[in-house]
Amino acid sequence: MIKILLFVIISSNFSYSQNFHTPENRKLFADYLFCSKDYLRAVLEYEEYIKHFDNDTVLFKIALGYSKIENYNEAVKRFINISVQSDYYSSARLEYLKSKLFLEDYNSIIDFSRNNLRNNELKLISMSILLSDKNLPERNNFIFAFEDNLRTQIEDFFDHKINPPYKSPLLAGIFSTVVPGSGKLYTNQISEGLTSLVLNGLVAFLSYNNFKNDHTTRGWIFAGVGAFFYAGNIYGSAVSANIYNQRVDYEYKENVKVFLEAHNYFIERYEFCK
Amino acid sequence: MKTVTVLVLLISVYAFAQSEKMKWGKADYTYRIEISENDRDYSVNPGNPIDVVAKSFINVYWFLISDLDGDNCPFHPSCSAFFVDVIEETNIITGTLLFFDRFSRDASVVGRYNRYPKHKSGRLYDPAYLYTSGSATYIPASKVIDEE
Amino acid sequence: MNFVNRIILSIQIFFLLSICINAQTELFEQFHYAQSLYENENYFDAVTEFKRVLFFDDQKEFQYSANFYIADSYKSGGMFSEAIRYFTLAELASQTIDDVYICKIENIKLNILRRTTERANRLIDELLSDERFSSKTKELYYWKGWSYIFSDKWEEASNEFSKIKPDHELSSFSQAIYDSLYDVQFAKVLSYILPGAGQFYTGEYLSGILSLGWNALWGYLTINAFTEERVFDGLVVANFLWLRFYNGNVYNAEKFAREKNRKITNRALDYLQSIYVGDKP
Repeated sequence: MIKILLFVIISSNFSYSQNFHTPENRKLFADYLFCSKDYLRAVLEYEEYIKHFDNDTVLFKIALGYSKIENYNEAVKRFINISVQSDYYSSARLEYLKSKLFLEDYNSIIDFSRNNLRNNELKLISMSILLSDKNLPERNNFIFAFEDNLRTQIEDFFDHKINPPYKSPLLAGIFSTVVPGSGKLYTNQISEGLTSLVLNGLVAFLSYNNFKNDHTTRGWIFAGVGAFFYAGNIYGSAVSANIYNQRVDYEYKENVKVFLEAHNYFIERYEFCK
Repeated sequence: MKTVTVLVLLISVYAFAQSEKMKWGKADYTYRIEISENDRDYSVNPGNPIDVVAKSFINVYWFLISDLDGDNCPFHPSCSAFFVDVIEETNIITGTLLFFDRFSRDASVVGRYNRYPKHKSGRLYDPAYLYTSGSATYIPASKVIDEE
Repeated sequence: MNFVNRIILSIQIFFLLSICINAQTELFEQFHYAQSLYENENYFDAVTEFKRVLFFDDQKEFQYSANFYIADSYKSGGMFSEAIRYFTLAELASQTIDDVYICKIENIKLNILRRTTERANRLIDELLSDERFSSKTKELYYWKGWSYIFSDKWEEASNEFSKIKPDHELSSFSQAIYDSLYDVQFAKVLSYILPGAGQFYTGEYLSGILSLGWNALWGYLTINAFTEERVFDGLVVANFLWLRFYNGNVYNAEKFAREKNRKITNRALDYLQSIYVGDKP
């Protein structure tokens, strides 16, 4: 009895292979690498494993790994190949959308939206459209895709996109024509506006003073310089309105991105690493 | 105790460790400290005759005056370099107007640091294309620019 | 236990041992494979294979050497912070005090290369005050010298090297570099006293002449204005013109001194990196 037991133990030891490059060992190593955030190496190891075995989770982890190292083109190619039977199929669809968002490929996102959509996908697609230049859907349809507690924020985002708080360059120019520097005050450049006012006033005063004291050449010099400052102030105010509007757009996009990050792009968190 | 210190160091290094994004190879690092060459570009673009005249005047200005009165401009493309850039990108009239606008922005000393992004040279980054191209992207004040 | 059973048992123990040795042989082969990648300068793959060794190393026999190789590979790839992390791991896995010392020295060298020289100095001082390494003081002075070189303190570097032996090659080298550097403060003071003098000192003669000329011109105009009782004009010229060129002159003197110094030190560093034969960080 003991002999048989010992024989079984010995023979099982014989079949225990310690070749570290077998697909199974590669997968074990790759799991470890993935959880230690060495995604590039994990992906390379998983791709060797996939040559021999079909495994949905591994395919998904490869795609996820590419996404983590910000190689979104490769990630997208792989997310799209995750089969419907996989446990990670719904996550793969969302990750696909997320990668397309980082690639700023809004056309693909809109094409995707022609499929039957699950709820989180609709939310992610809606937020992506906010970042794009595409036409927005109807307001109520847009907002009711989201839960109650998010509605106020979503309404703000939507309304801001329809009607951004831009400043008009024409108006800025007109203000600055009437009162130098006031156009810049209008576009929130307070100190620049005041400086412009002071500068224009000073040069005008110097010009006038010199004319009064019969220093005609100096008077004309200051008048000329003053004219340039005045014209520059008008043009500069109009340009500063454009810059103000660009800032409005930029900050809006940043806010949308922060919102998406906070909600993890509506993707459920994974439990690969415990 | 020492192991604890080492572990704390390790965790902090690990927390900030960058995960590698692509395959890397041997690096040719050098001991020297690279100086950012802030040399003036004295070349004159033989296109528009007005541009040639303007650039020549500016070259003379740089040589005789600007190189000698110290680094007074808080902006990275200095006001004269800004003028050159704007003239190249648009025409002399827009150039002059934007130059005077830049001059008055130079004169406004309050609230500067929250308005412009920083350049690696320590100055504020205010390139010409932000003003001449209608669709340039806004750069936030918190950003630090590494190029040029 | 009868004779036959004893034979069977010893055969089984022999097989078990050979399996264990076989397993370790496999790990050795993997380790040698990783080493060959490292020697062929294929550093990224070498790190992968060494990490594989670490992962499968149940007996924890390769912790020190694998971590050390990984750290060295990162160092060759210019990724100094990762290298420091792995040298620290290797240090934790060291079995002997010599290995601990080697890892600490590697960390010091990386801190020097990264130019975090205060940290390097602190590590060196810790080792200097550690009794276990009292025989290594000469080597520690050597690295402290290098640390000073990388923080641009050539005179201090020369002192450290001379502690090893008074006529150490790097001591005289560092001293020579220090002596050839321009004194920045001196250049500024010269320019305060006589505009243009600082530029002459640093060898920028044209700039010095122009500076002198402008300062002379505005100075003359200012004094002229004051002597003719045109106080306002005098103040305007003094403030917007003379002061500007005077400050510019001092600024230029400092700038030229620093630029020339940077060129000299870079040449020295190039020499140390490519031509000097000796231990380098």
